[in-house]
Amino acid sequence: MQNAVQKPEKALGLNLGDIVSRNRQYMTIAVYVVAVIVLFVIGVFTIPGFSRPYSIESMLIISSFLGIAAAGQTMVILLGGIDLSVPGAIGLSEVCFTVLTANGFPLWETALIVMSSAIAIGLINGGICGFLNLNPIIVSLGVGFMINGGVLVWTSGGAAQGVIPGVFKHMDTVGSSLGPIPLPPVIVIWFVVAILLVFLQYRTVLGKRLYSLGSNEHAATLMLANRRIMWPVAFIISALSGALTGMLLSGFSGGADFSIGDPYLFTGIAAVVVGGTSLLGGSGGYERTFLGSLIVTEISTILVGYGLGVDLQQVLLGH
Amino acid sequence: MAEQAVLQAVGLSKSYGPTRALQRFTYDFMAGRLYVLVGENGSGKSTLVKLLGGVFPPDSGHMVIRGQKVNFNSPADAMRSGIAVVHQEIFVEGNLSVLENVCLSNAGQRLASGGVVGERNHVESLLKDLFDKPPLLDEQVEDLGVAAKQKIAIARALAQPYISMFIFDEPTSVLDKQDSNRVLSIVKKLLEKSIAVIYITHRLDEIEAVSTMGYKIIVLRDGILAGEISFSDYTPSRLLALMSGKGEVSERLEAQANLAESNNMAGSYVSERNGTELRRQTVMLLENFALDSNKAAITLSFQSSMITGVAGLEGHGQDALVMSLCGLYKPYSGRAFVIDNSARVPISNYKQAVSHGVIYVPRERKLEGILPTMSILDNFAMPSYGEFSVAGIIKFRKVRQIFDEFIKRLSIKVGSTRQRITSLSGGTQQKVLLARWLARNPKVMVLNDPTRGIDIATKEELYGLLRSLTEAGMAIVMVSTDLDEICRICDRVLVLRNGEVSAEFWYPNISEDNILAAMFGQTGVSKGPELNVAR
Amino acid sequence: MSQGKVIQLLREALDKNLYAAFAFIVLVVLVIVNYVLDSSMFSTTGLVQAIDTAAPLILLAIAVTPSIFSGHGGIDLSLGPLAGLITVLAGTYLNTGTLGSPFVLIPVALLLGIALGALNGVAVTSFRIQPIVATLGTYLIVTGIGAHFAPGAGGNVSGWVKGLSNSPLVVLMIVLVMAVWYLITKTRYYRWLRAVGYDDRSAYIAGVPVDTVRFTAYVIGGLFAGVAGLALTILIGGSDSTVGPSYTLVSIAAVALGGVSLAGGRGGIFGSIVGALDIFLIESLLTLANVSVFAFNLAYGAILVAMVIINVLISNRRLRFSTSKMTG
Repeated sequence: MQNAVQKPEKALGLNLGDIVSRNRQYMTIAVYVVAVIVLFVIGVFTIPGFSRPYSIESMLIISSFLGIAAAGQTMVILLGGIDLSVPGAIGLSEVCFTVLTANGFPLWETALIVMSSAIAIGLINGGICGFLNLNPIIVSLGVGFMINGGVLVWTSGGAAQGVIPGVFKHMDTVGSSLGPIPLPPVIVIWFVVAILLVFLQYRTVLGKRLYSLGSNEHAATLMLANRRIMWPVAFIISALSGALTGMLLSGFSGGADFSIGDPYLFTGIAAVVVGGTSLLGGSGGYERTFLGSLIVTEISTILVGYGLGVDLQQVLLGH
Repeated sequence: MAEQAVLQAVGLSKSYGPTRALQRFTYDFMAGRLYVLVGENGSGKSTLVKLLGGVFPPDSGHMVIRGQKVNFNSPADAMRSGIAVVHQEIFVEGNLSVLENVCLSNAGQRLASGGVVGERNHVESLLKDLFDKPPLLDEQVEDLGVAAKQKIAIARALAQPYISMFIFDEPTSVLDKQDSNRVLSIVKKLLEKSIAVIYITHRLDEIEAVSTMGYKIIVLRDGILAGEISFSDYTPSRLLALMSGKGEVSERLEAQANLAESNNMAGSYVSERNGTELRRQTVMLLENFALDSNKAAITLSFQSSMITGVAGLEGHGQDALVMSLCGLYKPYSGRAFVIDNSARVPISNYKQAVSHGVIYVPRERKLEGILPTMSILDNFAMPSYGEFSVAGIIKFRKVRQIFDEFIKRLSIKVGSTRQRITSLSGGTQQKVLLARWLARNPKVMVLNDPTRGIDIATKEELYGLLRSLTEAGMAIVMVSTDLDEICRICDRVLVLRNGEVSAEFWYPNISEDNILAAMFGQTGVSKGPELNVAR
Repeated sequence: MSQGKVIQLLREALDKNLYAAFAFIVLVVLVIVNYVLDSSMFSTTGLVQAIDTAAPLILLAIAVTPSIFSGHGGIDLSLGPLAGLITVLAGTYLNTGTLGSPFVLIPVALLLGIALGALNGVAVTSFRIQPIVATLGTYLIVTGIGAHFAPGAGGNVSGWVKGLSNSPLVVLMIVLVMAVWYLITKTRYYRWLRAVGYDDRSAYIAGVPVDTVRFTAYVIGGLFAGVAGLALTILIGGSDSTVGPSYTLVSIAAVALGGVSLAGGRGGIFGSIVGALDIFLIESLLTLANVSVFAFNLAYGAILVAMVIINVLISNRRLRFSTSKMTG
């Protein structure tokens, strides 16, 4: 749709600028893709062994866990909120899968229990924030504490024994594969999650309403977006992605470990933020968190290669 | 006698990405002279104001003050050089008191001798010039209304210790007639102190009002200085011609402007109205409406195929009235009804209103209307996405198709609809917002000051749109602070005073004099055509 | 001072601190309940001991307030780890000979806090990094440094530090910090800070040096965090790099509980102190009531959420009254 009247002195200068501004959304993502590539190149040139398939696959695995844990967080942040109870969801899920399996529960039943708990957590977080307009920092912090306490009471302070559900044993080992795909299942699952979320964000009414509430809640409400529905939805997605992470982590943690989710809080937020999603809400999206997870993983791996800091693998995966 | 310019702008240019907002603006501003700056939205006016005010530096060019070349890196720099600005956007701090806000630009330096008490007295006298009943100095600003906040912003600028140039950027857009007059007398005082004043306005009636003290009208168009008109040579048509730069359009505008000079209804709108026979039906009722226990409850009805204007001094109940119609506000007493096939359907909340075809376009575009981080398409389609989706998945082709139709119908100038809505000018944004709700095929459109802050050319387009919607059967209820606008396009006007309807006028008895009189308390109800109610 | 003047001062103080009203009421209730369950805590020695234990939390809550106050998403996550780092230095390196004297430890702690605050301030103002992101980065860095020097607990502090535990000097530290802040509130800087916190664009237009104000807020926070580190060192009597980070979230919770707006521009350290005291007393209450360690967190979280809900419900009602002037 060009202007009805073309000003001659504008026509020329505007063309390039027009292209830039038309594709601004894509241009900014390009920056992050470039960052991923640049960091990789830096790693290749400065860290011996960085480009070996084993290293690449390791980094992808770490990114997958980080990316899945940060998936729901992205949705909550798009709304203008934040979820500090994600470690709780992760830990709860991990403990359920290990302890319940050890007590003879079939996998599907455990999965059902975990899913229901995650939905409950999301409803509490999102319900309180959505209906009462409370600050999500405090609410999710409190809910996180409650989950923590609840699990401790249940497992009598972590004394319960857990077992790794057989199915999950090879989810994240390098070299494993999912059917015909030559990648560890964790990575494939991450990609699937990413596709689903990006589709949700940009192609569904739900996604648009989510963005609108984060962009300008007043205007969005006048357009009949309902924060009382959307906040619980976003927090449920967050709890579910945490539960998924916990389930995948149960594959190799060796036992019931509630605190396994703790490092994912700050690193997860870092992945979202580094990817360029605004903490104010309404702009960004999971495609950016996806890249952000890769960037955070790369930076951490490079730093460890230089002898600085703690290996992200150690921190996130516990070994 | 050679006058030295207070400020010389030399080749000021500024671009935002690909958009060249201001190009090589060069002008000399003399002491004690009033310059009225006009231009369509997107002409570079507010960019010029921000450059002069030091909000950001120019890409090229500079300013000369008292023979010295200057460059401002922040508003504080500009203030030190004697430039005071009242921006279009109201920049006050809600959590600070009135006193703290007025002193903010000079925090620490006492504004006057006499310590704390002297400062308070000085601020009080400043406020007296602006307020009928000034607020308490220690009252929190956020509790005050929009007009009061704007006046505090003005007081803050006036409080600067050293002023050689004062810039007003559309100061009266939120002010009523009384306050606008106060601002004009402040302008007069500034001129008397040999301060150069730049006054930006969209309103022809304001330009007329300052014609005795004005020196030149500066016209910006597409970022360049299109020309200047001395006040002695001023006519509206000459001005509009310079502003639009288009031959045929200026003729049309001139024709309308000439007709506007007559007291009764102006222009082609009237004659069409007179000629065609429009079937009007009551579509909405506001029954037993009263804003508090001291007011008389009245029942108002609203008909299709007409524009009902809601006028009044700022803060006298207009917002409450129209928002009650849409279920957004619960008045002390009163209920809104939609008349559907002669059945009365009560409206108890906003959602119900929307589902029955009553839509509301709020006043504050930026705060309540647009989704600033989202695209133009999203801003248009958001309330309609549900309709254009299957199982929650949006059919974008259909959405774009519908939007294209509206783009044509409303002449929305837009490049790519994927761009952020903030890349559009205010007037174009407003068109997108109107399209947004028109896409829902409403029966009743409730508009709150829809042409506020929009350039004259776009305003004319919107007037044409509203009238054509009316002729196709729409019922429009419109709050407006622009009396000229009300007189030109409304079929009926409700005037609110102190929270009550103090007068009602029907075409052809709608005139500025009548409305003003009603706003200030001289009630009058004119005789209008009898209407068939509820049939 | 005349009686009228006293009343006026009281009323001003009330208005200024009204935001913390609910948290304060909760505080009174908690004090009463705690007293009933264990009046020994309110003896002179008991009180000193209690305040010494609560001091790191109180001081950290105060320390994180200026950054939150400065608005635009302001926050400082790195202050907890800083306190931990100070205990590490005190317990591992600055504990013998000349290095072990208070004239070394105290300036080092304060300077370290100022340096960290300056680093965060530069990141936020010059590099325009979002505060939660920038301080997240420094959080990770400081935690890493602390872990590098002394993984885990242990270490030995100088004799003079050990002697200070359970002494009223810690109370004095808190009072000193409060006095410094009080002086700050009397300056025009404070008016600027409130303006910047509430709406930084308006402040900029009004000529306020926004970046300088924000930077200074982070530096002040860092300084107070240095004091918190000293209090923590006195409390633990050794080094522990892991305890600092856990204070981060709790100190933010304390500030929010106290009614300080996380968006900036509203509140003050009074609320932060009351919030920190509330949390401390809740913890002590749960211990006194013999709540099992495991149920502790459960109850803790539940009380936190409940308090915040009630806090908002109350202030919502006040808001509803004031927005009833909707006549146009």
